[in-house]
Amino acid sequence: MALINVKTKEVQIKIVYYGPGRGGKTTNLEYINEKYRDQIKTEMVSLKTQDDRTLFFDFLPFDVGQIKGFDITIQLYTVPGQVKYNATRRLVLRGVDGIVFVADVQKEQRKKNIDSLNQLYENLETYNLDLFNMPVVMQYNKIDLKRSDIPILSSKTMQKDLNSLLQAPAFEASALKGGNVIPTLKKSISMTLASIQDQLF
Amino acid sequence: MNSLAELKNIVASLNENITGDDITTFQKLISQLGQQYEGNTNVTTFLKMMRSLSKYLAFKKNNAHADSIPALNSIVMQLEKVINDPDLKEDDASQILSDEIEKYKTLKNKIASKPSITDNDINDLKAVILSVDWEISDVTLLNFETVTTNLLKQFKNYKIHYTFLKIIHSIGRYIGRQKANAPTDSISFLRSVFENFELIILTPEMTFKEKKQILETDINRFYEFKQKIPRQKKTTNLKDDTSEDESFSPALSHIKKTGMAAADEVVPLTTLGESEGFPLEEKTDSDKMAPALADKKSSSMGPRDIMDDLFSVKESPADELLDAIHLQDIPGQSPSQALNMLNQTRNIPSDGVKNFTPQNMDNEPIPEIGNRLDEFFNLEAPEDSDESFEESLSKREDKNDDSGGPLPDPDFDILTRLKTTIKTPESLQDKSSLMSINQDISLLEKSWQNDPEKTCLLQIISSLTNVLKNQPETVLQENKSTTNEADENIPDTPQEETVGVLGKIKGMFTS
Repeated sequence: MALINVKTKEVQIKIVYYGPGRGGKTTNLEYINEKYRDQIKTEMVSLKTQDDRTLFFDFLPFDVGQIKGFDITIQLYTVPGQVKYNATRRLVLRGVDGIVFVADVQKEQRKKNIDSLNQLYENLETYNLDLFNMPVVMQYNKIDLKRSDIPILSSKTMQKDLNSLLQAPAFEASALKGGNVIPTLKKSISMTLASIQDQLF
Repeated sequence: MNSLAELKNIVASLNENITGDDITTFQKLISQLGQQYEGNTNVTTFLKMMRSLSKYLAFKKNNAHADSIPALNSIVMQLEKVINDPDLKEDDASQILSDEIEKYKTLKNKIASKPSITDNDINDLKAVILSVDWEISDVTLLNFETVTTNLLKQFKNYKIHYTFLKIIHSIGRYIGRQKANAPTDSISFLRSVFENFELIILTPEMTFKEKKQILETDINRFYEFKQKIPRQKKTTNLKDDTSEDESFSPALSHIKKTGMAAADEVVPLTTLGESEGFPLEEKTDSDKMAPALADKKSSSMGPRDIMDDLFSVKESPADELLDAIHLQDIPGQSPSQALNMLNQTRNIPSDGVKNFTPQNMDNEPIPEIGNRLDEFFNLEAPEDSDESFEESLSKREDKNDDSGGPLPDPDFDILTRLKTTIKTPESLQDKSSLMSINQDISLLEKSWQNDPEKTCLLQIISSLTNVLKNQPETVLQENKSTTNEADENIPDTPQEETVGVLGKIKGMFTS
């Protein structure tokens, strides 16, 4: 839930990057941290396993400045994608304000994308949150693989599999090279702030 | 062979398998011995215990208590001693008998008593299940195997408990084999079976019928779970051949049946392509490559000691979240306890703080949101910018007027000064101005030495300044007078009093 301090005029929102393992959630945050290092001014917390996979979560907080006199702080989190870490995923989702669902366009990841989104719904339910009422942005990552021999799913299939019911704004992306990473984030922040603007501004 | 020797043989065979025929023969032999030793109280008491045990074995067969055959064996051995040892005194025989009676009573109590499960047993089982939920690793799986196997041995004679444990054991083993490929609901199923097992243990007043009903439900769920597995195996095997046409149920279709849009009707997708200036090609060899082990060395802080963080002052929500995750990992702690802890730390009442749960009402963001985010994210690094040098310069000039903007860098100051100085042709005749121009050019050349384009432009400006400086004053005056004549012919056009050096340079290129 968004924390709003009306006295000090501060707003804090939490956006969680969710999706199957090895989908590129951490890469999204690393790109943002690298590209906007000067503006962000804070340290990214990242706890990884020996094979470079997210163990607990990544955390990147930053201030985007003032909107109508309110200082806006964004907290970006990722969840560990591996199936076995669902307990951690549930904990990270506590108090979430916006979701970026990072799906992997590789053909062999098709079922995992669907399973992960279904599990996101269930995990949010434990906090009495309805995914259909949340600010969600879909990101179809690793689109750059179309240049290689690795078979990938078309965006049409990705939309059908993941977004036919949710109908969230969707972005093709290449987190590794930064493609559409920032538009995805901007959309997510924008939607999340818009969802609380009536109470705020 | 006498009856006693035959009895011993039958007991030995019962160790391996308890059959109805063996028990019938055993009972016949007991009757024969009873007739033979009628009047011998010690022997008839031994025989009475044996008869009673044989009835129990006839009823339970292989499900009999694990201690029953050893107890029977002991009775037969001691009976043989009492009958066949001529030196055995009456007192010693009575002592042997009373010892056997004691053993027999202990066995009876064991059979009659309810399964004894301690809090530790339950907590151990809960801990290993939670640890598998937390992480499927060799260590957690080994612990799971050890605890469940011990409990299975312990509850071998208690059908309901044993069946629950057997289901838990089977699901755990399956998860262990499948690891990350295990269906997402397998761990939640494991936990729910454990919760039912815990319920029947912790509710002593529950009737047998109620326990049986809970067990039957779990058995049915277990069969359903097992039936799903072969289908998933098939799917996995076919994975390589799957085409995009293969039908997968869309995500969330089991939750929301209505409102499903066709693929073409789904909300617009923002694509990523070369047309938008995004390079999809791989990095070339010329790209800078970090030397081996460079990333290892750069981290001077060393790995973060996570456990130390538990005792440190909390500085960010990430620290609190880490604590909650660690607490969850402690055996006996349930995830809800960790969550409660997180809630307590987050919900400390603070003056003026309100919590809002965002609801996506398809609100259009107010323009200020978009403007602020554009401003924040569009601050590109200079090397990423594809704008021309002049555009960049003018933008920076504009920004300089804004008192709230970033501080100008020294190069920018020099450039502004240079631009002002060479604006007027007179400056080329003034020695101090000329010195200043040359000084600024050399400062900028030094600063931009890695940028060949800029240094080249600076060299052109420097050369042209020298050319213009060495031009006879008359030429300058002629130029001035020609300009004035032309201006006279077009009286309505605003007049430019002086033509700057930049103007002259431009004129040289356009003429």
